[in-house]
Amino acid sequence: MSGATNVIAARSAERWRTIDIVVAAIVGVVFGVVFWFWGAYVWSGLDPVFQAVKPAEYIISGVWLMPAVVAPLIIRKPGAALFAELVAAIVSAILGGPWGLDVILSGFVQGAGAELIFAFGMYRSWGLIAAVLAGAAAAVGEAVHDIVIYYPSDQFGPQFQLAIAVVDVVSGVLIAGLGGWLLVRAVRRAGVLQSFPQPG
Amino acid sequence: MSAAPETPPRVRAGGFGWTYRDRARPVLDGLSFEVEPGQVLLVLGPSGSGKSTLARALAGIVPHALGGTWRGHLSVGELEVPATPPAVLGERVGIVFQDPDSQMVMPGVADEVAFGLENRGWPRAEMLSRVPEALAAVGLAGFEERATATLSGGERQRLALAGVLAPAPGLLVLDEPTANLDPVGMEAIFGHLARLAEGRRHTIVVIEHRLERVWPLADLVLVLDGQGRQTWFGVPAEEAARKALLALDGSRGGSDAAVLAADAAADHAMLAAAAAPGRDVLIAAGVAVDYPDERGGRRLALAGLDLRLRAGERIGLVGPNGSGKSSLLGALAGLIRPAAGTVLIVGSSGASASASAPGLDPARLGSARLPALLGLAFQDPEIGFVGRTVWAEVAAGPAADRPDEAAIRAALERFGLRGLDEASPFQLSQGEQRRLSLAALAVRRPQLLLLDEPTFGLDRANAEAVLDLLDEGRAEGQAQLLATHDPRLLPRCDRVLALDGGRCVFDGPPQAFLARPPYVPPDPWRLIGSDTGPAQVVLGTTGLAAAEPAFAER
Amino acid sequence: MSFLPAPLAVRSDAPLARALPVTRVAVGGAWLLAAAIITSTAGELVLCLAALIVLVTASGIPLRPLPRRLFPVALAALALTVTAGLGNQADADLTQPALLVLGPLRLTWPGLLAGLVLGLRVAAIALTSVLVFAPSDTTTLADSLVQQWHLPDRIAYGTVAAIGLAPLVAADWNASGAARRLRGLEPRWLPGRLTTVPDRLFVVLVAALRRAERLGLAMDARGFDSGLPRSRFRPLQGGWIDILIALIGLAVAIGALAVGAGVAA
Ligand SMILES: Nc1ncnc2c1ncn2[C@@H]1O[C@H](COP(=O)(O)OP(=O)(O)OP(=O)(O)O)[C@@H](O)[C@H]1O
Ligand SMILES: Nc1ncnc2c1ncn2[C@@H]1O[C@H](COP(=O)(O)OP(=O)(O)OP(=O)(O)O)[C@@H](O)[C@H]1O
Ligand SMILES: [Mg+2]
Ligand SMILES: [Mg+2]
Repeated sequence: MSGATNVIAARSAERWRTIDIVVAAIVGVVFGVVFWFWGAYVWSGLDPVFQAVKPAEYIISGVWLMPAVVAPLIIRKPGAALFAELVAAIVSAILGGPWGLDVILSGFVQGAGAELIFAFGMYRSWGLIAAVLAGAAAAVGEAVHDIVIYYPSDQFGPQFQLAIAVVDVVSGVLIAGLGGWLLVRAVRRAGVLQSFPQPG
Repeated sequence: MSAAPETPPRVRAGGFGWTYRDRARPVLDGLSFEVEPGQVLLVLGPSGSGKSTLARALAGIVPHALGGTWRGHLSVGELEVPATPPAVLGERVGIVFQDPDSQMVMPGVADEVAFGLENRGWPRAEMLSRVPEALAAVGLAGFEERATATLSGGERQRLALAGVLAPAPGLLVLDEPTANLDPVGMEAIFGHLARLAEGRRHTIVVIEHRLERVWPLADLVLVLDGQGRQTWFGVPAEEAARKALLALDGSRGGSDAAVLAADAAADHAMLAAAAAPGRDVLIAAGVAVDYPDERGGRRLALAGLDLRLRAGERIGLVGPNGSGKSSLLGALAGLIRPAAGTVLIVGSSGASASASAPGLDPARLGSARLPALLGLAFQDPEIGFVGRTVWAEVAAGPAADRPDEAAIRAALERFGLRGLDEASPFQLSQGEQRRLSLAALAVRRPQLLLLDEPTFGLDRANAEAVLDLLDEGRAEGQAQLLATHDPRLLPRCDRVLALDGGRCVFDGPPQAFLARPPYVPPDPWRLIGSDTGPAQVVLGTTGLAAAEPAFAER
Repeated sequence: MSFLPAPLAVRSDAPLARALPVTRVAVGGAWLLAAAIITSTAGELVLCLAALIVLVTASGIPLRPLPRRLFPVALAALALTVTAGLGNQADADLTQPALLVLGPLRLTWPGLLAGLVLGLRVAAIALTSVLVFAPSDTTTLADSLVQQWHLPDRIAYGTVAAIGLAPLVAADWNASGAARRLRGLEPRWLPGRLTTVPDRLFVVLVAALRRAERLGLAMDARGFDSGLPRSRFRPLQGGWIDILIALIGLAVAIGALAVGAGVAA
């Protein structure tokens, strides 16, 4: 008999395998459907309620940023944050959320925000700190986009805009960053993602 | 780029073994075999013995995508598997996986079949003629413009086959290609397979539990034991192959049909002795189910069905792929809101039945009360899992009545799942998943049991374990409805309900159904190898008679 | 059964449906940009009207299911109009009569008009998206992105495959609820049922990832990533209709910008 050869799942550093593409995209699809559902059913119901305290509504906005944290933590390749967030946006636009095509624009800036953080980490750090920073950066992208398109300075005061940005970043850190990191850890334990790099 | 058929490769294994990363023992161990170009290899082994893992290895998924430890050699033609990326193997190898859902790439049926051709760079003109041809070969002619998401389980499996057959790959690996197919579809696939085998232009590796159908096609047989070790490799007619098979079968021996028929006789004796089936447990009237179709309208999947099911009664639900069986079960379990009609479940606790309301609508019932009343095994067990480990899956239930540990252990034992307690349900083999879904029902004994294809993907020993469980339940007065494509189960039912196109086309005793199945052509629906007459003809025409003694000896 | 909206049954012989998807995407992008830049009610109104006219005359989209589908959009537009109206500086001008007083907040006519810009912006963007996406399925969109804009095959079709799993994901969501209910794990009434949502979402995500994992492997097993040049089952070719639509679309975007600028000046 020939001796044992250890073959561990291929881990070619940069190139995206087909499975990387499909899995990053499915993260986008699942969250895209959630976004759409949220926008079509929950948001349109809650929004009038939140009118008076608009910035407070942003406390849940971190949900919108999750693909940009979850996908890169799973597949660990450059571009994952941007790609997954864009797919999520496109899916919710196709399904027809209240934000239409614009959601793709916000998807782009959010994903780009998170992507920058992972790039700063040279695409080598995928831990909690990177996740939290990525969540925050994505939130900054989101806040800038929303302020420009929906809460422009000629109509909204600087305090209002600042409040939106701050609440948004807090939500990005907690929900997208910490939440996304916990989610990926739990998913791994559920016995999927065997074809992806395992931590530790 | 040309569409010329590829030359079939030789497949060779030498001391090949594999251990999944998070498993202690190897799933495959010391496989050594050689399949000449154009030969057909049949792989046999109990559920969980590593057959699908071997298929994955032939496609390069093991070891390139799944982590673990590889031993020995495995090669397809001149390509050594560990040294060849899956996509390169993918040009030579066509594989139909066990789970058809996970192989649908494109949203449209025609595009799905064309996908493999596009990947190989076929010219468009050839694709245009090849796609309908491949669809017709699996009985899906006219489905070109359907959306894959709206196909029934069996229709999807046919489509997966068409997609893999279309480019005519040199090595064809089929992992239980007929598990979800109705008998006609199964005949068609085996007929197609026979033609492919005769043509000798493909090397074929086929994994299949329905031995009686593949045995005559096989040039070589590889038998694995429960530990994934090779117990036999050789030409099927040899004496030793029979011995290996019998060892593998372990159970009562004899031909499948003979065993089941004998059981059926015993069953009926027992039934006659017991009191006739008792009170009504399920009353369904005019149940209709529809789904949205592609043009914004609705397509009727089930048209006004009446059904009464009594305590201690077992009904077999049969019908071609897409005839509405799963839809009916879904409506009965309260998962699908019927477009019309009513479903009532009459619990045995007198409280639920009163003069004004004879029963309860399962769709309206509180969740905590359901497990005692109603159990459903999904056609795809995976979508029904609620636990994160095998143990948790069986234990899950309302806080009020958790099964005790001994009962859980016994259920796992019974379905051969011991040692997998802590495994994730998602990593189990298909047969293991099915057994797990049944084990979860076994600890509760609901009054009404709805099972969607309970024996598909199971070897005979496990199929018998399922039937034993059903018999126990029935003796206690459980009402049972089993949707199945396996005519061998029918003699063990009290009644057969046959659907076609969403309508009931037969309701009566199994003997009457098997004597004159209400389908065209009727023969595939008969019990193969039984003494119900015309089945013998089927046997003769496929040359099965010659193979049958292999099972009959003890 | 699924909570996902069924695709709209679009007439395939309508001018918009006969155009290449990328043409629609390009024009939609231009309109989106215009909608984002314009700061006047009149300019946004031009876009909304243009979108409505195309929707009715040239899109082949059935109009009947639209109101229900666009209802959330209408709500969002209305809500934004009011928020922006309430937050507007014009409201602080006490010489203006108040239309509405909410505690410390006042809404005035100029304030409302300013808010209306944002409301109309939402409406214009939403209508445009319907025009872009409804007339073709994701495969055709991907075909077009690959064939006309040379998006890499792997990314386009990998994404299409994942999007194709969406109905299964939706079905998984339903099944997860059903399975939990049958196993006695699902509370009966609404507030209680909300508590199981995270659990069910998790199950759905896990199932989706698993499906994606298997699907990605299956795609490679069918030779997807082999590096051979792929051929095309459905070649798409542009025609005069694309040129026409691009020209009209561009004209509308420029027109709206001009009207917007004209009013502002
Ligand atoms: N991805 C995986 N990770 C860990 N263990 C696995 C994985 N896939 C399968 N196994 C385990 O390996 C063993 C063999 O699985 P495999 O699917 O090859 O069996 P099989 O012979 O095809 O069974 P069946 O007839 O039920 O389909 C099983 O015990 C299963 O639990
Ligand atoms: N979610 C769905 N959307 C649209 N059509 C559907 C859906 N589910 C099933 N159908 C259609 O309804 C019909 C009945 O499907 P069903 O799954 O009940 O068949 P079945 O008898 O269980 O088939 P099989 O033996 O293949 O499992 C089929 O034609 C199928 O294409
Ligand atoms: Mg298997
Ligand atoms: Mg079915």
